[in-house]
Amino acid sequence: MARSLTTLKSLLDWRQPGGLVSVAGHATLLIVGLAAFSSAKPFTPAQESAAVDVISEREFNEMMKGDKKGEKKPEPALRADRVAEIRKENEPGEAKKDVVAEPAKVEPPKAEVKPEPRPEPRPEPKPLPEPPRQVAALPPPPVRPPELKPVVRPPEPKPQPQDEPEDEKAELPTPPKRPEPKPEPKPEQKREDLAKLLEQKQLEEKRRDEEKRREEAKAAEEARKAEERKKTEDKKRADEKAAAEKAAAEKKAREEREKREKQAAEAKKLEDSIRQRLLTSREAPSSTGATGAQVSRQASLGAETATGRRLSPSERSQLIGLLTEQMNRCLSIPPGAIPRSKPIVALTLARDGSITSGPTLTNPMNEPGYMPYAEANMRALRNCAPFRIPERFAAMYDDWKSLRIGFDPSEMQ
Amino acid sequence: MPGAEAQVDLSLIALFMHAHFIVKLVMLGLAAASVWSWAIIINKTMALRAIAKSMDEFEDRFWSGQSLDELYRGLVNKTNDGFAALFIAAMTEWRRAFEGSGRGFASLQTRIDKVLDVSISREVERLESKLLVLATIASVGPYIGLFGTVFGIMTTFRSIAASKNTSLAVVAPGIAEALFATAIALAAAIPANIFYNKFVRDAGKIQGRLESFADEFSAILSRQIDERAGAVQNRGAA
Repeated sequence: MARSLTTLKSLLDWRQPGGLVSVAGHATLLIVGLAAFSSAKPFTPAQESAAVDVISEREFNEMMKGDKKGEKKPEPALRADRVAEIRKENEPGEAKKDVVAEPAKVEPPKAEVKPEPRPEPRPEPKPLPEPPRQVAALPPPPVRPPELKPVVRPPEPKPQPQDEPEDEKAELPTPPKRPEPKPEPKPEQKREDLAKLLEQKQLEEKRRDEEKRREEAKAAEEARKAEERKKTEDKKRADEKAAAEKAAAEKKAREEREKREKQAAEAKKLEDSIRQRLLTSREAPSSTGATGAQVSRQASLGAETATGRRLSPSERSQLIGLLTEQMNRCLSIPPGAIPRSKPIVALTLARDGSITSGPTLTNPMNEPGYMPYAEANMRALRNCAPFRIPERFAAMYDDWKSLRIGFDPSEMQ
Repeated sequence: MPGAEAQVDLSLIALFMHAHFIVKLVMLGLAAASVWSWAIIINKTMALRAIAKSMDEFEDRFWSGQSLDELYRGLVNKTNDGFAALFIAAMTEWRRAFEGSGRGFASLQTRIDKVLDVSISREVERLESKLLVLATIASVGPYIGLFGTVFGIMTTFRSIAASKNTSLAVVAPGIAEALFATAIALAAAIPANIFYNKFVRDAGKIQGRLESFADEFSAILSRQIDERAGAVQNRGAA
């Protein structure tokens, strides 16, 4: 207690100003600190950087990365939407006999799909099954409106309210429905012979019908004219005649109407069935997609390396050996100096062994005899073009798609 | 310094207010320790400088050829430190030997040596007073701060567990507050340690000077004693 008191006293002693100076210094620091640290500076949020991978074209072509959520399947495969044409050929020097293509390669579903589109261009298949029925439905619309009207109208406009409209085609309630079936004109144009025949028959019938009706209409017209002539003289007779005619016309009109309604109902039914078929049709999409040995049914899960199979060095030299062997059959080296340097030729191949681009010489030189030699080799490559490439290389297609082949002149001698 | 920082940031003031009672105590204690250590540092620096200055001045006067009695008379009524304190103590003992019977020569030399030793130790004690406080603050301060930090983090984790939220916005203030205790402790301990080392060395140097002066002065006095003793013997013989 006493000690702390003396300590305090010494703190206030003017001869030992340390305590006062210290307190004052701390107070100053506090004030300065309040001014300097009044607010904390927030961090500026760091921009997230996007990871970029540099991949070569080959890596991109061989990419097999797939759906993360896909079901696990044992073997990843290159994507293929269609089956590539399979060319099964003997490997030179390996198989003595022709090997029969395995049935597994030809997949039943594809076999079914393929034949369908082939017979006809795509737009046709849809309407094809129906056309005959559509043709049957077609004729009625343009039928006989014009003849009917004159018969009915003059005597009395009253009996047929349907006849009132004066334009020839809209005259009856039914026609408006009939002209609708739009699909008809299209199929007609493309229709087969059968459809055409049917149509012709129909037209003939129609024409006959029309002729008949026209005769009737003529008769009616004459009758009417006679009536008009006689009207002033003999009203009574005219009335009777008109009544008789009216009854006949009504009867005829009723029959006509019934017939037409029946046809309309049929047409409608047909139309509905066509529509139904179009809606539920399962035509193959027009996209051709990528081709491969097998159709991939789901997204590939990808391989661990995310690349396809590569040719091993020995496989590569084997393949190049095969190509040069085949090429040598077409090769004729022009006489002259055989160069010492080795021309290297780049070319790209299709799956079936045909050349899709090239061959191009990658190292042109001035050496005498070099260019003729290189050109002879390139010519030979072009001439022997579809090379037979053994089946077992198919999986590595992306690796040997583009090749560089060197032609060693020393081997020529 | 740390006392100031305890209330520097406005948000930190709020943190200090939110801190646990014990952490608050630790922070305040460390702030007080800082104030105290700086007070000691300032006082000690001034004291050491004053002693060194007065010692230089005394040395000049002592070797100026002035008579020792004169010098003694000039200093005897003042409060003295350093060489002057040694000189006065030895001279007092010397004069006491001649004031009385004047026959205490035999053991006067030993007594003077003892007196010089005692005054040296007293001076050194004065020089080193309160250095222990600095040493304690320097060595224990960080532990106290660490204790405050650990306690603060403990309470922070408990409140995190209670709020069931681990986002940084929840965790950061508590941790900052806890670390603040360590910051104050370091701010107090580092200068204390530096100046403790400096003062110990300065005090040692002064102690060495005092001892060499004491030896020299003791040699002078011993010569004087021998001379006086010879004179007395001569007087007695005559």
